[in-house]
Amino acid sequence: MMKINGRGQLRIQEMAFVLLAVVLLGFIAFIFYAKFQSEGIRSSSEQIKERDALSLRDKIAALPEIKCSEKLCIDRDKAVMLKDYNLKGMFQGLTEAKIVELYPSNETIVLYSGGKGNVTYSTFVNLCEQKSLGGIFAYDCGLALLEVSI
Amino acid sequence: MLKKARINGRGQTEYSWIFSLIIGAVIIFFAIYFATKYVGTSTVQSSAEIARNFDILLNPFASIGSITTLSLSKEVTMPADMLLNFTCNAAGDYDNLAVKLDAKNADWFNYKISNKYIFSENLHGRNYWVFSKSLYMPWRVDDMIYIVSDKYCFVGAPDSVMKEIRDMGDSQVSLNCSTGSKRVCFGIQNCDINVNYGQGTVRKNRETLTFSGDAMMYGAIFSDNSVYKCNIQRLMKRLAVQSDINIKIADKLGFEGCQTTAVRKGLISLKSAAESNNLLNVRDFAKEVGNSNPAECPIF
Repeated sequence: MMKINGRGQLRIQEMAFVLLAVVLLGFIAFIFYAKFQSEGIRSSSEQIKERDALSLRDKIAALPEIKCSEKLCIDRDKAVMLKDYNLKGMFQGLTEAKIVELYPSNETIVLYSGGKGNVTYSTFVNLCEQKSLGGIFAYDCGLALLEVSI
Repeated sequence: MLKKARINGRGQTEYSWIFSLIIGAVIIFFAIYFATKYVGTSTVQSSAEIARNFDILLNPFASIGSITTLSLSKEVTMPADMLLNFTCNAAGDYDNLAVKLDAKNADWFNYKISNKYIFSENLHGRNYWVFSKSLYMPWRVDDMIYIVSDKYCFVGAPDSVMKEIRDMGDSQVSLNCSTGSKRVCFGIQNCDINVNYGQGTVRKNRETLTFSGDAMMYGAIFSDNSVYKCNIQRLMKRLAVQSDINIKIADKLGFEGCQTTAVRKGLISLKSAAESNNLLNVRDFAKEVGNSNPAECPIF
């Protein structure tokens, strides 16, 4: 009787171990799957951010707050003033937006700063300043880069 | 003795069956639990992706006004049937887009949009008509974006409005009324939406909304009343900031010899009217500012 009972217990133990192994295997597979999924989410989030940054760059170049009165350009005076106003909502999705003057000067005008970005996208823009030149008002323009970071 | 052992063996076998059934049930329970969790997570993920992509898709509509005075109009098709609810928060200065897949157990995903002004009612379906129009007060304040899913028909609209609707091509808005379409009447009463174009009012859902210009009128027609009022408030905040920047530009150019006294005075009044959200005063002062912008040294 003892012999038969012992064999039965052994079978139960065997089955318990097999089932435990199946559960563990399933759990490990789930962890791998979850990790794979989170990578996918992160990757699609990066792609969305990039697309957003590119379209936002063009939107910022056309912001009415910094637009020249006549030409398709950015008004330097208006751009300098912009940081005095709380317009962070306009830069949603970006960590930084700035204008880097290339010619004739090489100053940097920060439009918005919400931290340091990982990736920067830029586009050339006309940066102009309305001045009185011999009593006649005209735009004095230079070349600049509009940089947006995410 | 042998009989007892046989009974015991059968008992052990039965016990092992019960044991495996319990463990099997536990495994099935966990499998169903994680599968349900995963389906829930993936629907939220889909809604989140759709919300972000939808926001990106609207970007061209939000900046087209800087290039052209023409309206941008396009039909947008979603990957699946969706529920889109727009609300607006004037204090927080943002529109809230709540997205949900039209499926059982799908959860809402909320997404804040603070760089656009979206005029819409709650939407349901797969195809939407999106168009935009710049708000000028007297300069371009920003582009107003309209999202429409219902059918509308315009009755007795002024020629300029009719031309614009016609030029937008295939859309949810037509000049011929069919059954099921919302009637928007100009100068005629007892329609779904009644517009008094001369006075600048839209009567809708037993409420009268004030507008100034066609861009605002479309907003009043196509959006939920509370969304309209809130977004106009947000736009007035923008206008106040832009007026302040232009006052400083007027000061700078005035110092260099430009005649900016009249425009500066108008800009101060415009800023004040925008801050107090007084639309009628904004309209009048915007006109005044537009007429006094010096031609030799334009401020805006």
